[in-house]
Amino acid sequence: MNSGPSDSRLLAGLAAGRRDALGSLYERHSGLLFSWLMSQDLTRDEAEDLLQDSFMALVRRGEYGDIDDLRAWLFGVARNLVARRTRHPTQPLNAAAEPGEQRSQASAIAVREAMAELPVEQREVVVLKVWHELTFAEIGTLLDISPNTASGRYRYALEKLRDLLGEWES
Amino acid sequence: MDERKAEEMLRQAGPPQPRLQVGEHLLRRAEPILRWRRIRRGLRLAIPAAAALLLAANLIFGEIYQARMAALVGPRQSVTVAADDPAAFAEAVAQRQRLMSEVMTAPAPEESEDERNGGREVPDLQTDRQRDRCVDYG
Repeated sequence: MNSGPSDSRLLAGLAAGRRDALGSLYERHSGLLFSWLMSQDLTRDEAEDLLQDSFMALVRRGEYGDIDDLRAWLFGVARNLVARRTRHPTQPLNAAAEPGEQRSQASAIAVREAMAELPVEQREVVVLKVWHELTFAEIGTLLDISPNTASGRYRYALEKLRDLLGEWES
Repeated sequence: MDERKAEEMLRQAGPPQPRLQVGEHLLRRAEPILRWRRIRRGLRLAIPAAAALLLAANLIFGEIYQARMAALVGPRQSVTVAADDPAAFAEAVAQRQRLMSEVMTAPAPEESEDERNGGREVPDLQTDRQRDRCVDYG
């Protein structure tokens, strides 16, 4: 899945102060983390701030020997940051399309609007499953839930999305 | 619409991506920390290297100094004779005894009074004292 040097090798580079190691780690993990952050009732600006803060926490750490799974570690940091933040009432993931985004077709907007209707717990599972193709076991690890719970949330979310998108299509 | 189609629509919509500036800003924010780490790492490598260099230079210059001293003094002479060479040891002892006896039996050179006193005139302190007493008590 990941090409290039392993996370542990990049972390060793980061410990040595290598800028390119941080760049590679950001390239590898920012997409997943950002789409999860966007599923958490945050505005785009807030999600980008928290994305940066999560990576800055990694940079400031300095010692990386005890990080076995970097993706899970970053998720843990991001979850703490989100928990400490006041939730925003709007749903940026869905509402307006991002500035300059190419996928601003009607169906993409419909999908975002439909996603906005989902509870956060279901939405985050859909994001990780559909957009990042994680297994339910991996999702369970990242979100600290069992694979069965993740699977159940995904099933309920798809049922709801099917109804919402069916309405849009008709 | 079935669930598979809904999933397909989601997949086509694709995940939101952070703006490019976010990554650039992150690298800028991290740079002071990373720079300090690079400096620290450089120092960690440079200090032992400098110490090793200093030690090597010390040894080299020590050897050069010794060689120069040896050149000034002449060929190196052993101060003691190896104990495991009895013939050389006996010869060295005999040589030393010969030198000692030469020194002891050598006739003393003729010396003048002056030379015996180291070439200096010795003051006659007793006469001086008598003269001083006469002056003091009239």
